[in-house]
Amino acid sequence: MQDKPSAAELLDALAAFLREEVAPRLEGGVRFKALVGANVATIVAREIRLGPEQDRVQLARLGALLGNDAAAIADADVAETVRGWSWELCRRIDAGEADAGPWRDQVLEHLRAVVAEKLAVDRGK
Amino acid sequence: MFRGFDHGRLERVSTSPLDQHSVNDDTLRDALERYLQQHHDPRAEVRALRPLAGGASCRVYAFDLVVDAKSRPLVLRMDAEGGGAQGDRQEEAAFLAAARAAGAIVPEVHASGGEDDGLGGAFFVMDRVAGEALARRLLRDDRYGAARLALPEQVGRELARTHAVDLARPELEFCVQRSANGDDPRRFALAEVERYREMLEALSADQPYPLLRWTTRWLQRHAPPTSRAALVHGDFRVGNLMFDEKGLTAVLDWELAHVGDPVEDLGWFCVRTWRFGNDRLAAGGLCSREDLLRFYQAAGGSPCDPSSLAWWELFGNWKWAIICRMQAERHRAGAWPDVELAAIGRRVAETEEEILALIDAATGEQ
Repeated sequence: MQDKPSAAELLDALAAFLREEVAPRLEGGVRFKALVGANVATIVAREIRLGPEQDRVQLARLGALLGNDAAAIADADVAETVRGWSWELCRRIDAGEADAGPWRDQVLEHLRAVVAEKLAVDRGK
Repeated sequence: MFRGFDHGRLERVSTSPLDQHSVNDDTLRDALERYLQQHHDPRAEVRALRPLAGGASCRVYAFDLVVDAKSRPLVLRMDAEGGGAQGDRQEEAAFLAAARAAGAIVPEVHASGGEDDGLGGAFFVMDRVAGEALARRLLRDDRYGAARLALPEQVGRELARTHAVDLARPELEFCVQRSANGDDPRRFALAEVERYREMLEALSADQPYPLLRWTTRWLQRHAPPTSRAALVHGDFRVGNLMFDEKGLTAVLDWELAHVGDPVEDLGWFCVRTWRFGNDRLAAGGLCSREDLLRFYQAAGGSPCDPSSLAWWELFGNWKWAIICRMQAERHRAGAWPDVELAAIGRRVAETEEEILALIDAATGEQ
């Protein structure tokens, strides 16, 4: 347990500094990169806030798609299990199982939700 | 790492005054002057040599060639040390010459040399065309309003001219030999999918990309037949157009040209990223897909099946997602540490969003 401010709050402060104080004093390519840096800090702050809940939701969807028991996964193992089950999904996609039929629709529904979750972090609202 | 393939120049903005050039520019100036004195004019003087934006495999310099007090603005493009496939620049010079012979608006090449000609890499020298190439300005600034109106027809015409290049020209023999052969009318589409599927595979070591892999299979299963073999520019997008207030002044960056399905260029021009937010106009934020095809065909381009264009546009977005990931890998692997390259890895998601929308449109869902 660290002292406040939290990691996400520190990144918010860094993003505001880069965007509001550093970038306006620069020009051209370096100014652009300072703004990219501010955006990166904002992305990481959103990932810290939204990531754990997103991983849990993805794990539940992947469990339903693959017939795996998501409830049995401990919190500490969620992120790594999402990765492993996503690989399992990839192998079944590569084998053509999601080319057509009802399972294709379920897979696409899951992938659509994953994209929305990634965008909530990478692009924000 | 990826067969010399490099998309550093895809984001022009990614070079800044902080970028390191390991070549000493005075040494380069002297070597270039010596070469031009030997092969061009013994009185040649190279003045004001300065680096312009380039990618990791290609260095770009502006300079003035002075002969008898007459100054000519030129550009030097050369392979970066240790980066890029051997002979890239000589191939690019060949594409420029072939396109120019077909009437395309491209800079004239005045000299080219190999890696043994004293400059430290293969290179060529071409005219420095007036204008700028910043797509965001083209699509947003008031001063380019007339250019925005003129460009759709000019783009259609340049694409038609490019695809009319005579593949029997001797300087193009190397790329005809390299192209996908066989009788399968889908061979060009399938070869392009295979090229990027391999890259995706190599980039997937520590992250699965289920949507991109699902899309790979969709592209393979729906690959369109080729209308005909043509010289394809390979990176025809708004960011590679040089323009002024009146419109197009040159089509740039021919290093990815190859023999393929001409519709590839039309689809790539429609990829969402190149619209810079102007999504209402699918073709580069400049005009509708229908207008692009109309201008292309009016200038002699072959009729194009809309479903073939839709496939190549989807392919283009999928390819761009893989390139975004590849850019991030250049940062991650330490080849080109840069916060902007790192951040591009997080742009895969927005491209996946577009892929899903195009899949829905192609399959008539939603």
